[in-house]
Amino acid sequence: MKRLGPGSTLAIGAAMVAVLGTLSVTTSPIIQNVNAEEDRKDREPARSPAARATSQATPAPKASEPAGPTPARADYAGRVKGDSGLIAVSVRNGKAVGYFCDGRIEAWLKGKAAGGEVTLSGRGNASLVARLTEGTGGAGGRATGSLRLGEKEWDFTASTVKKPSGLYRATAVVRGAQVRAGWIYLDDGTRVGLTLVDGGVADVAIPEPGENAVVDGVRIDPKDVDEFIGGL
Amino acid sequence: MGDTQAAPVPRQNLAPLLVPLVVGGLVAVGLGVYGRVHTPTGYAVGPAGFSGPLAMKTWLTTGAFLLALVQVFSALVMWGQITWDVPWIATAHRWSGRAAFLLTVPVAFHCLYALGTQFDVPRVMAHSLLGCFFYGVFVAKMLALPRRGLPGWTLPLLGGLAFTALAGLWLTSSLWFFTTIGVTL
Repeated sequence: MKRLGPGSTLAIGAAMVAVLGTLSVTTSPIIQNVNAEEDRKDREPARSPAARATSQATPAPKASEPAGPTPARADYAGRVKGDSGLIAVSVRNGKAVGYFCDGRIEAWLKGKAAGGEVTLSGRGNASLVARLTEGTGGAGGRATGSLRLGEKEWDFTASTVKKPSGLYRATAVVRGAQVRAGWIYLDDGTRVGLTLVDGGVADVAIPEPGENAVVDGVRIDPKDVDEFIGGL
Repeated sequence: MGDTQAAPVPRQNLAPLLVPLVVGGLVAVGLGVYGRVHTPTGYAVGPAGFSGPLAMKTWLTTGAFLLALVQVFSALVMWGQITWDVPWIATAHRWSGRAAFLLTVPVAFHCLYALGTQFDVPRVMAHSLLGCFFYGVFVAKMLALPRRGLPGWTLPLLGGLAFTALAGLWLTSSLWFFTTIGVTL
């Protein structure tokens, strides 16, 4: 029997890539093609000269849609100016969620992302507007805008973050009490969070990113944006 | 000294290396450019059974790294640096290498398709560059293997570079995961 040669090894690897690629394209939860069509008119003039130069210089890979100001998927987190709170904004296929927390007060916001902007609102007259900008060179993207909670308003700039940084939310019923918690983790290790038990602030330690929180001796599982955005 | 029969002049033997090195270089550069210019999807299909894509990549990379240790050991036996008389050592070398490579494919696919190459953080930059370099070297070695008349140092050098790159990849990903997030499946 002829043994498999090194060429076969490479061919098997390439075949695996083809299978993974096909599955990823077909099962992707992203409806970005629809969004991309809608956004294309806004996008063309808005693209920076640098981005245009890049796409002209390297026309080869066309596997995915070109970068635009409204990403199909992005996670931003950063500090709120003039407050010790953190802000997180996440975009998924035109939907967007936001969370502000300073350890004492918090606000969950939801809304949409379109035309390079996210517009969110939440209970208690909370609202957030932010402009999304693409990263250039080595820098990541940014969401720059303002957050309004009742009478107060703060500006913020949040950078893109990658898991395990970012926003997490947990809801559970623990011993008959409704538990809701939110956490924000920044890349530099800064973290903030708040756990409400039946609407009151509970003294619950902020878990390590990706680990369970313990409320009243019961473990609750923090959900990432993909897991909770549908039910928010 | 060398005035008897015409000993092979090393310079003449470099020609067969040209194609493997050029193709390997193109692969490395091509992966890097792809990871840079396409929009990361943040999503990719991969092996199931792990708590998340990071955990999946961590464990597959760890498996590949352990197999790479087998690679170094079996290569040392094959090249007579370790005396161990086993007839199946070459087969073990081939199959452990093949398995290691195939374990890395879903990892690299998720990295490049879902995340892209990034240069913001030193760890991530080193990881991105090493990843591109690893596949370039690996392709060069696979293409060099069946060729005759290569310089004697070709395979040890390419194999050693591939192992070094994989070790660096493991240190900048799996070790980071284990120490930052924990040893979880």
